[in-house]
Amino acid sequence: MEVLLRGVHKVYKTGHRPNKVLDGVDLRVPSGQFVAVTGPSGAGKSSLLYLLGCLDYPDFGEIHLGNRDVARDGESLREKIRLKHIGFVFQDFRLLPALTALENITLPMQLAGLSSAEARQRARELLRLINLERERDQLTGTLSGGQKQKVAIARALGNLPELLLADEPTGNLDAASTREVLEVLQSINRSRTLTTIMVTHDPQAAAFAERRLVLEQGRLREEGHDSNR
Amino acid sequence: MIASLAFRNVLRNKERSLLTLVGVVLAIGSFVALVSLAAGFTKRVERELGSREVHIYVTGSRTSTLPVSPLGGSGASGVSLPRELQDILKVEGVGSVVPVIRSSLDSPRSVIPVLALSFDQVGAVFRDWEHGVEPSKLVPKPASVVRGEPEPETTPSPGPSPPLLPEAPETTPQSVSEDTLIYPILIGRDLQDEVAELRQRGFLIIEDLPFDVGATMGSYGFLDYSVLAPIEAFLEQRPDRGVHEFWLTLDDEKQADRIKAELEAKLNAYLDDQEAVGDYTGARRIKVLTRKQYLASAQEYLGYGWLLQVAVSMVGVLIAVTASMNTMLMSTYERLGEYATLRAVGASRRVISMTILYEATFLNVTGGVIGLLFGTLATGVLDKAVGLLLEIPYPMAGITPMLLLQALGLSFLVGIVGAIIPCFIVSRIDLVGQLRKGL
Repeated sequence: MEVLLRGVHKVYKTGHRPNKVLDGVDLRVPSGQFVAVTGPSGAGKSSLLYLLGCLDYPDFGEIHLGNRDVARDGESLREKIRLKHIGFVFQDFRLLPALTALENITLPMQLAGLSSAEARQRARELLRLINLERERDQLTGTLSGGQKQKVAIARALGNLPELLLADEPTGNLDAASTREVLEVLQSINRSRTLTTIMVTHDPQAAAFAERRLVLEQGRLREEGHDSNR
Repeated sequence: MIASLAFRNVLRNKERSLLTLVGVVLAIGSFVALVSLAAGFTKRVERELGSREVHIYVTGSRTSTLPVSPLGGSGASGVSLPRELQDILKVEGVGSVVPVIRSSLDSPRSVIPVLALSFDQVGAVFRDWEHGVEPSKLVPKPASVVRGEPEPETTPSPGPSPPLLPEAPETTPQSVSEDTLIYPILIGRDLQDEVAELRQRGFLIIEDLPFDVGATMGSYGFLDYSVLAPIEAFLEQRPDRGVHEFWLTLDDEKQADRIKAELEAKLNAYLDDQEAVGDYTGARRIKVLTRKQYLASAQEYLGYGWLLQVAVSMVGVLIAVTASMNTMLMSTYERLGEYATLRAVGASRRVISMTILYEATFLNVTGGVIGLLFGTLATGVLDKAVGLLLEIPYPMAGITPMLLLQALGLSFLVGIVGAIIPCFIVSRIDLVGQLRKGL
């Protein structure tokens, strides 16, 4: 899925003071590209991701996912876009503690209307992909940080999205787990031609991406592009 | 999956869920117990009124229309209808006019409802009196009656009484089951031997009635028996007294409305005449009611009691709603982050609301089912307690499948109402704010 942003503005109110986090952001991400967005804390990286993920509306500007300007769509339609076309990975995993690893992965699929059997079958394939088949029936509270994040990635991939958004996916992980998770993201991006946009403050994590952008003072700047990756 | 998630959410905070469950159990249990008592009593009264072959009642305007019982009781309003009305009420289409005095007697264990009417006319208003076999009709219970011989010198007979009762059994009953609604009442004098024996068995004994001939009959009112007494015995003591009601049987009940109108016109004319000569000051204090109206009037009285009991049980239900809402609110506020996550991975607002609804209804319907069992048990206990307190010798409460369904529906409703505000809160969730907070 191609992603296109044109003149996106976003202002948050911090107390009584407006905080301009995005100030006319323009961006084009071709379908299947793995992009890392870096920048200092509070630069607006997560805000950019929430806008791309249809979780928030811009104050101005256009956000095109494929051919559709989702900034103009109503919430009901954006719910469907989130469910079927976008996968989201969070820094703190955000797995539901009452459910097992397998159930966490099947949840979005069942919400999308897949039968239980079909969803479980697909979830098992995803667990195999991330080498967590044995942990499938464990409650997610018992998994390590790296395992949780891999389950979260599997959950994000359940509905075969065209856009994967990862918000500091390695922020809470140790070095070994960080590498594992990034390799999974890289591998998925390559094997599925899945447009992937990852926000990170870690330059080493960003190095796994094909293209690196920096968000500073509300605007995006190209930092590097490695088309061989 | 959503139902499974809701179920697991209930189990996540077991203590809180348990407390809510207890609240719902108590509310539904008290609803079942109180409403079943009211419903059972109403049904009983309706059966008793329906069992009379009386098509029109002429009564004092404030006389209770409830059946003879300690509750509606003696029913006398203080309005005494002149006996001479009996002749005025005999219009075309009226089969018989039965003057009735409704009274009561104190007994060692209870108040005894007394219905005084001419024994010549008992058969007219209680048609199955002598030959009745239908349980819903007022059937004399020979085994429950011991008749004594009146003392000629102290209790002059009011006149020849027809043999209304079958011959008394030679032996006293060996045992009396509550199911048969039989309570022996001893009427008459010089029955010391029988009294002693029956007393030993714990039966109700009335040794001294102000009249010398009587009978008992089954009843579906507040007590399971009434005493029929010859009205002549009452009138002999107070020759100047009037009666409380006239019970009219019609040749054709379909003519009831026409005859009622005719009677009202005649009574008004009579009252006008009385007023004109200054003999009667209680003008316009007589009402004429068809059977349907009389029953409606009794139901109105009963309705107040029913409303009171429903209102009391509704207080419990409101408390349960509050408890349920509080639980769901706390649970929702605790899980706003999770709900935001669900939204982020594609769950719609409807799905989130359904999760909350499932959770609330699961909790409340479970409480409702346990409440039904508890309520049924409580009804039995309450029934016994009321029976002991008011000396009602039979089960009063009526638990019907419909009542159980209503109670279950109520618990479902409690769940739905308890989930409304949490659903509203979740529908307006600040997604980004919650996602930034972390779980």
